Amino acid sequence: MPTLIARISGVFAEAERLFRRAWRTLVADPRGALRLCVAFFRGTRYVLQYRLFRKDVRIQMPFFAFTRVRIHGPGKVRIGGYCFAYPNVFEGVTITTLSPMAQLHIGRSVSLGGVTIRCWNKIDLKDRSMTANCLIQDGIFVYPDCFPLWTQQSKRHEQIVIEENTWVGFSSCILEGTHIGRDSVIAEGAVCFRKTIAPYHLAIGNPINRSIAIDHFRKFRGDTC
Amino acid sequence: MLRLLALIRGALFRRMMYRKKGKIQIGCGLLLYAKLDIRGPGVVRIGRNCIVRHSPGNRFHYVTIYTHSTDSHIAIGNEARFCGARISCKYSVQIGDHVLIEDAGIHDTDFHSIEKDRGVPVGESKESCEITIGDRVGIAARSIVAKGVKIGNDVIIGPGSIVTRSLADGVFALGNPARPIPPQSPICYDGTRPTKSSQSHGALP
Repeated sequence: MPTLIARISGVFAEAERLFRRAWRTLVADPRGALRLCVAFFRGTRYVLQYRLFRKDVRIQMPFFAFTRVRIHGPGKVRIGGYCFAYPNVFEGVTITTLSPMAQLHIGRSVSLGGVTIRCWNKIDLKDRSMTANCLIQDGIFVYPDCFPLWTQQSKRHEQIVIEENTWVGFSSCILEGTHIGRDSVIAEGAVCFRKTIAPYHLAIGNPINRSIAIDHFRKFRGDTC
Repeated sequence: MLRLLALIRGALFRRMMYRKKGKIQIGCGLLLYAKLDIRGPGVVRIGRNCIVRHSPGNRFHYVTIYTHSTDSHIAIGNEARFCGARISCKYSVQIGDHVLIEDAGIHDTDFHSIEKDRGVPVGESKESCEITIGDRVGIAARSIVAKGVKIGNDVIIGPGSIVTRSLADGVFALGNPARPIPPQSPICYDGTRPTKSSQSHGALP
């Protein structure tokens, strides 16, 4: 019984905290709060639309769409709750699955800013990752029939895994066979092709030729925190 | 059905282009799944059985073929496939047969000089700036082919690469500038020495 009371009071405290936070946000930035509401309704519209008309696309409920979200193709798409779709350089979020076997999993509270995802085989974007206006594509080409000469190179659709809490920078390309570790950062304009990046590293270059441990980097810069 | 519609659209487009007095010649069997935008005073020749699409999922990324002077000449071979390619030509762009070009840019001029007035670029000539692309070449998304580049046959250019130097036959090129990398991994981007550090960075978890 005391545990139950404690749990209920905990829930109330949490609700009060959330409510206060929401109220503070509303008072500080009423226009932003309005835009958030509009985004929520727009996202709900997308959720309903895809739930009614597309069997393969599942979007979990709180979905905030500040921009247009296009999902095409025959494959499976799963998007977790609390995802945000932002516009970035006039580009909306474009998700294309190119084969019926394609599986795209996007975790909870991922922020998708103008990202273009083209999926042949399997792409995993785990929780709390951030993507700017970048291209995530497994496979070199998206055109369906390639010539016999190219099969070895261009039909190797290896899986892409982007682990939790990563940040993929603007205008970068994440290509096939990439595994990005937890908390790591891909720099702007980097191209990642069949690479494994260790957790909490910063990766630079087109194609990526260097990755620096961020702890090391901060030490080098003389940050104390 | 879609194919039939594309065929009809292509035939109508060819019919429309007859009015340009031989400046634009398109071979038979053009499949137009999306808009094809051809502008400018130059000569454009496209071979037989070409397929034109927009880049997947975004029909605003259609194919554009622009010529910027009366001397400019674009020749595209038979059975080329375009997915949102952007070609702009001032001197000459020669593209072979069986080519696949996705949303990449091919520009054979710098458009402006590096002088302060940003006028016509100096020191450009037809010989130094013309782009030649061989047969069975694939150019992937978001890559750029710069002026004066010769690309051989059977070349694949990976996504996001900037081609500023000529490439030999049968290579797979990637990066900025695009360098040939050996096929089938081990991933070695400098092409010469496959070291351990170039394969994976740091330890796996």
